[in-house]
Amino acid sequence: MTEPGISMDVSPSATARLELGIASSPSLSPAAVRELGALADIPIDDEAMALRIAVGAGAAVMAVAAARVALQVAGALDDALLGGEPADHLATLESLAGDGSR
Amino acid sequence: MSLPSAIDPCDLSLIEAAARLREGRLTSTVLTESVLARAAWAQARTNCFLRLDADAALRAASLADEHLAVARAAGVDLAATLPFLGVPLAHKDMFVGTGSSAGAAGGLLPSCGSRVREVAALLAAERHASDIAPRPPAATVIARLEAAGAQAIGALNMAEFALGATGHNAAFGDCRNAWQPEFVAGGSSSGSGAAVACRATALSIGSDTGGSVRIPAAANGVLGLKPTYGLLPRTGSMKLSPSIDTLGPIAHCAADLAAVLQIIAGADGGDALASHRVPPDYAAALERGIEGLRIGVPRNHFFDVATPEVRTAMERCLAVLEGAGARIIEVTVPDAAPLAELSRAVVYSEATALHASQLRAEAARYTPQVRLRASTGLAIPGTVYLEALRLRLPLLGRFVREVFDRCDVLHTPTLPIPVPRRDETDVGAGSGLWEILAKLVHCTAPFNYLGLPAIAIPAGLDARGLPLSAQFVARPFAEATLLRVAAVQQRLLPMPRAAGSRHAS
Repeated sequence: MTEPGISMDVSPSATARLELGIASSPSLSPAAVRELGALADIPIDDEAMALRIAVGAGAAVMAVAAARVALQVAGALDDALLGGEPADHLATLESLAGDGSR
Repeated sequence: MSLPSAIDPCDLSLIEAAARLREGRLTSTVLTESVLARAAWAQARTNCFLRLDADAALRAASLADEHLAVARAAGVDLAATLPFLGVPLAHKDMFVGTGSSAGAAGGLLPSCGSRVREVAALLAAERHASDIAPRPPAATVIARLEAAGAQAIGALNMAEFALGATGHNAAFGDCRNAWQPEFVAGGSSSGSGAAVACRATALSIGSDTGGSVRIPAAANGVLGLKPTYGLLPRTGSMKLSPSIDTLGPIAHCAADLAAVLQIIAGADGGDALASHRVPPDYAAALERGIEGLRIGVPRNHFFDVATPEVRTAMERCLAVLEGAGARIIEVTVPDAAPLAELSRAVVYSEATALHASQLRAEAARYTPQVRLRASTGLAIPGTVYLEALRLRLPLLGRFVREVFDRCDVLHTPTLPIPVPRRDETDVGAGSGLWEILAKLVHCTAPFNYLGLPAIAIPAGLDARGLPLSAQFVARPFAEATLLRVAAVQQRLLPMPRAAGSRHAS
C-alpha cells in the first residue's frame, strides 16, 4: 500500500497546496503523536516513527483541505447536510457506469 | 498426450490448459506435476510461496482426472459447468480456505503475511473447533474458482498485512522479482506477481488497495486487473481498508483474466458492498478490438515523475494501439494532485482501527515499516477521515464526467519509474527510500480512492531487462473495455516468453 510521511516533497498535495494558495503544512509534533498513541493504548516508542506518522498524517489532513477547496472553487462541493454520504460510493459508481457500448 | 517439446504443461494459459484437460490431451496429474516442479524452481528463485502442499495437490489432480475421464466417456462437455476442472492455482495468503483445497489455507486461516497472525490463528482455530466462535466464512472468490473445478495448491507470499508496495517481508523473507531477484517483486501481492511470471500458477487472486495487484504485475511483466470497487465480493478475505479494498486477478493473458472474472464477479450476499449489476460477457468483448476507441493521455500529474525511459515505452504502446485503430486524445484530469493522499487518509484511518487490538497486544511483533503504516491512522482525526470519504463522491463524479466524456480509457504508466532494487527500498535504505515508495503508487493509488477499474499491461523491457508496464483506467464497471485494450496490446507488443522461467530468452 501507500506510505506515511512521503508526500511533503514529491507528492501531489504539496503542489496542490501551492496551486490553491495553502502555504503552510499543519504542525503535529512527534510528541503529540506519542500522546495520541498513549491515549489509545497503542505504543509509539520510537521517535523516528512518531515523526513519520506526524508528517504522514499532516499530509493527509492537507490533502483533504486541498480537495475541499478545489471542489469549492469548481462549484462542485455538495451540501454536507443534504448531499450524498460516504455510504453512497457504490451507488455512485453504478450510476456513473456506461452502457458498455464503447 | 503430447506437447511441443519446448513447452511444459505449466507454460500453458489457464484456458488452454483447461481445454486440453477436457479434451483428454492433457491430464491434471501431468499438469500438476509440471506446476509443482516449476513451483519448486520459482520458490528457490523468488520465495513466492508461503505454503505448498504437493501431496494434496496430486491427490486432487488424480480425482479430477477421474471426473474428466467419466465426463468424456459419457459425452458430457464440462466447459459450462466445470470450466477449470483439474487446473491447479495458487493465491495470495489472505483468504479463508474452503476446507476442500489442497493447499491455500485449505481449512486454515491465512497468515496475511505476518507472524503476528500465527498465535491468533491457532487460538481462533481452537475456538472454531470447539464452537466457541463461528468460523469466518470461506473466501467467495476462491470458492467460486473451486466450484468451477480449479484446485488451490498453495498460498503465496505477500507484504505483511498487505501494507507495502515492494514485496519486502521481514517475517517470511522477501519475495523477489521473477526476472532479476535483486529487484523488488512489487507488492503487496508480491508472490502472486512472481509466481505467475514464473508460471508456477497460471493465475492468482490478489488484492489491491493502493496498487497491490497492478504493481507486482508490472514489476514481473504480467497482467494485473483491479476491478471496480464492488465488482468482486470480498467475503472471507483479509481487510486492510474496507472502503477501498478490492480483489483482483493476475495472469499472463487477457483471455485468462476474462474467463476468471466471469466466474468470480457478482454479489454473494456476504459482502454488503458488492454490486448486484449483472457482469457482461468479458470473453466476447475481447473479440471487439479497439477500432475507434478513444485513449486519453493526461496532460497533468501522472507523467510528472515518469522517467524518460518510461515515457518512451508509453509512447511506443500508444503508437501500437493507434495503429490498431485507437484514437489518442490529450485530457486534463481534474483534482488529480490530492487523490493519492486522500487515499492514504482513508486507508490509514481504517487500517489503524482494524489493527488496534493487535497493536496494543503485540506491537513489537510487527515489522517496523508495517507497524509505522498500521499506526499512522492514530494521528488522522476522525473528522478528516470522514471528510475524505464524503469528498470522494463529488470528486468521482467530476473525474468521470471530465475524463470519460472525452475518452473511453485513460492511459498512464503503471510504475512511473523503473523497478527498484530491493536494497534501495529496504528499511534503513536512506533518504531516497520514501521518495521511491511514493513514486511506486503515484499512478495507482488515485484510482483506488475513486474506485475505478484499472489494468496493468506489460509494455516491454527496460535497458536492464526488467519489465515496464502501461496502465489503463476506465469508467466504473468497464472492465471489458480494459480487457480489449490488453488483448490488443499483448498481441501487438508481446513480452519475451516466460519471464524468469527456465525458458526465458
